[in-house]
Amino acid sequence: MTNERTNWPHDVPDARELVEAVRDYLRDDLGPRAEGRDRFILRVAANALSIAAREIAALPADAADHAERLAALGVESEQALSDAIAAGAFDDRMPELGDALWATTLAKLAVANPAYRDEASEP
Amino acid sequence: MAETDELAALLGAELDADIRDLARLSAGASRETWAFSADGDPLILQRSRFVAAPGTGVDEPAILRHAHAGGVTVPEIVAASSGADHPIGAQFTISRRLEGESIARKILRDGEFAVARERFVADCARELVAIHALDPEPVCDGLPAVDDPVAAQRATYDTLDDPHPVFDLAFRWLDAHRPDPRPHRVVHGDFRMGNFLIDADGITAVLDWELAHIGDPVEDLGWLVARAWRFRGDGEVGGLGTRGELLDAYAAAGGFEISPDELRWWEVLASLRWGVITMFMGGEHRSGTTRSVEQATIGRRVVETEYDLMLLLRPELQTAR
Repeated sequence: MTNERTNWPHDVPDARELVEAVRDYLRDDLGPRAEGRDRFILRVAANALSIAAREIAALPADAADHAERLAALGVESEQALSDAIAAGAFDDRMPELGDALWATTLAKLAVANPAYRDEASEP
Repeated sequence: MAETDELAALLGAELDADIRDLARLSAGASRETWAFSADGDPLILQRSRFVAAPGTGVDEPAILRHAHAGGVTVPEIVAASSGADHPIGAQFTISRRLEGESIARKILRDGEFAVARERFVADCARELVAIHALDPEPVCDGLPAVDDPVAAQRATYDTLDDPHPVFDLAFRWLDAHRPDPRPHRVVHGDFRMGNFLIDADGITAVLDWELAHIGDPVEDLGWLVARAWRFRGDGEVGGLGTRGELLDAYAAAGGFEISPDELRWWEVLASLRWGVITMFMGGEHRSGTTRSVEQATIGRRVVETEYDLMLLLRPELQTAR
């Protein structure tokens, strides 16, 4: 694998590759040898590292998209969006708000648990 | 080992019986479950180290005895104590150990539960009707009253101080579309797949009454159909059967008629409640209260409930997508 990020100050393997290496060890090596609760916790831990690896890979694009969506809705932060919705400021901007919330939710789910999606039920 | 021997001696004195095979089944921060036999009878001990402040806690022995007398399928209580300074625990129940499986994955997939799966929706409806038919009067002193379930969740969400715009949207919709209130009844509060014992023939026990309260009974149906309790099963009711089948079975068992719209309102609240709980659990890890990889990972399940809410609120979102 070549290091495409020529301006990056760190060496390879990069953060994502290190996290995946530990994940693979827990899942494929240690996990099958463990028993009972340890086995369960190792599965949970491997899953946590998979989430972390996906987040590292997706973060630059996700952060830019999210900032763009907040700007388009005219709010400065997630907190400001929450407060505005609670105050009714988006009651008459429902299609626009709905599309933005869908995009954010799908981006978060793609990192946290991509298998959870039920595309047949989506609009 | 010393703790086990000491507890065995206390149980022997309490029950005036020969205690054998005492083993801890699970342990939480404040609650433990033990299995043992007394003169050969298989029993279960559940004990808590703390008693909740007066007026906020659930008197589990009282509600379990009341439910048993009212025909709800619950284990028979052999001995119990609540609110007293008892050496076994601040609050404990000793009940008959019933046969059955509680692990959803096995119930949903193993061949031995094929008949139980067919009967699951009808079994749930029968138990819910029996719970909601209980006279609240004898137990209302030992159960908290929930008069505004939306405000109760909103208060917890606000305390967590972690903005989730989808939750704010759901709160706003719930506030504006409240169904006509039902007369308040005993509500189980955690009636879902995972909290039943099930054998080849169906439900053998309704467990985990620590969230019981007095409130709107439709809450129990909304919680039962929430996606969090489907465990990847295809059905909408704990992974088995449809929402419509549950409403029909509930009415057929002697319960009242509930419209799909009313159930949807409670399912939205149920998803939101599970979302707030997962936020809370992730927060417990971050604050250091209960640090564990399990707790931390549950924090990242919050988005699953946001996704469920987006699907449930589809008609209101009127998106062009």
